[in-house]
Amino acid sequence: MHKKNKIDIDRPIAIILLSGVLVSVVLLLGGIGMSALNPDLVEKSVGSVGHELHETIKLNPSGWMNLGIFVLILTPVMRVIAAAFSFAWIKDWKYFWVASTIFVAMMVGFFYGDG
Amino acid sequence: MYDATIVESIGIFFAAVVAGTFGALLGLGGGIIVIPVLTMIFKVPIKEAIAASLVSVIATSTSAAIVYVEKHFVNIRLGMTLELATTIGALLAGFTVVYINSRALALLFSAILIYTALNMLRKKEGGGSLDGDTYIEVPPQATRRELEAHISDGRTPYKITRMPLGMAASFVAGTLSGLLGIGGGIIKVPVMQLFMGVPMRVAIATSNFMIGVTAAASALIYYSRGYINPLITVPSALGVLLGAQIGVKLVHKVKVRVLTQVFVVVLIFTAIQMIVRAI
Repeated sequence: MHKKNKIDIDRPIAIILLSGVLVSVVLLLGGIGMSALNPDLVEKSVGSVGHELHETIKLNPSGWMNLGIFVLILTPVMRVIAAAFSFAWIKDWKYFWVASTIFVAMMVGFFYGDG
Repeated sequence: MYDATIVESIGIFFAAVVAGTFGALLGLGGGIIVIPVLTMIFKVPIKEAIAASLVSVIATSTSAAIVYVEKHFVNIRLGMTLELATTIGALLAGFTVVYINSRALALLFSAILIYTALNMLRKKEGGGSLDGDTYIEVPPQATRRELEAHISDGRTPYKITRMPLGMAASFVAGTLSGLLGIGGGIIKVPVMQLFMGVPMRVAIATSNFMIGVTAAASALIYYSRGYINPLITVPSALGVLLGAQIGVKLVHKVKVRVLTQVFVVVLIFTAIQMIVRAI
């Protein structure tokens, strides 16, 4: 493998992973903090992403925690997208299509997973 | 859905911290420890426990992968190739788990606990350190001169072989991940190292890199099916994440070999308990 290609791919992937974990931890801890003040607002299930975004804006602790969970799950998905873009940038089309296929498969699971 | 009280959620958090710590010390994913704790101590339904475990696995593997990627230990192309198979396996499992009896899942998980225990006895210490050799993949047709050039530059060359076997093993690992909430590293790492010619450190780093996608593929399905319970998932994920950081700090201060032997006994005992309860 060429070292330039290796450096080009690794950096954006590491940034995406770190960003996802940090954002999700902030949301989770924020939700826990708010739930200490309003424990009655905490729900035991997750809703749709749109619903949780709406609840997060309303400072509902469940919204923050559920969105934090979703961001954490989404982080590897974003990593796959970052890898696809990185491979496209260095014109490694074989692995661009590998990454793209993985992304499509994951989206099939998300949008059709409720049966 | 399991209705955890605040006290139970706090209990789950501390249990997850212990799970994450031992997982990091012993080279296990959090799922192997978190799921028995949730189902046997807190009586969480197994599918909710699996969902919580998947999110916890994403948290810890992603955190570790950041370090492995930055230090260039991950073979990203190999990881992406194997992820094709592991994602399909995880999707298959995610779509079918709703039709699988909880007892069957418990029995399958018990088998994995026993396999993990035996694997721990066989495993040698080390290989996961981030210091030491750097590795570089070379094509199968690389000449001796090219190999020697890498060695003189301080890089250990390796060639990847038996890719079809690696893909098959990744498919199995992905399926088990989706069914049982584990990362699948207990299958991927030995296959990469023993059969595909991948050095141990690269195998561990690449497996860790892949686990996030494997778990996310199933977790997305569990999310859309409503199996994720925040009252369990949030303390589990945060606890395992914190515990993993503690475990990494402690790894050079404890006798891991003794801990491994004790943990093998605990794993086998837990497996027997789960089998008895399932039957």
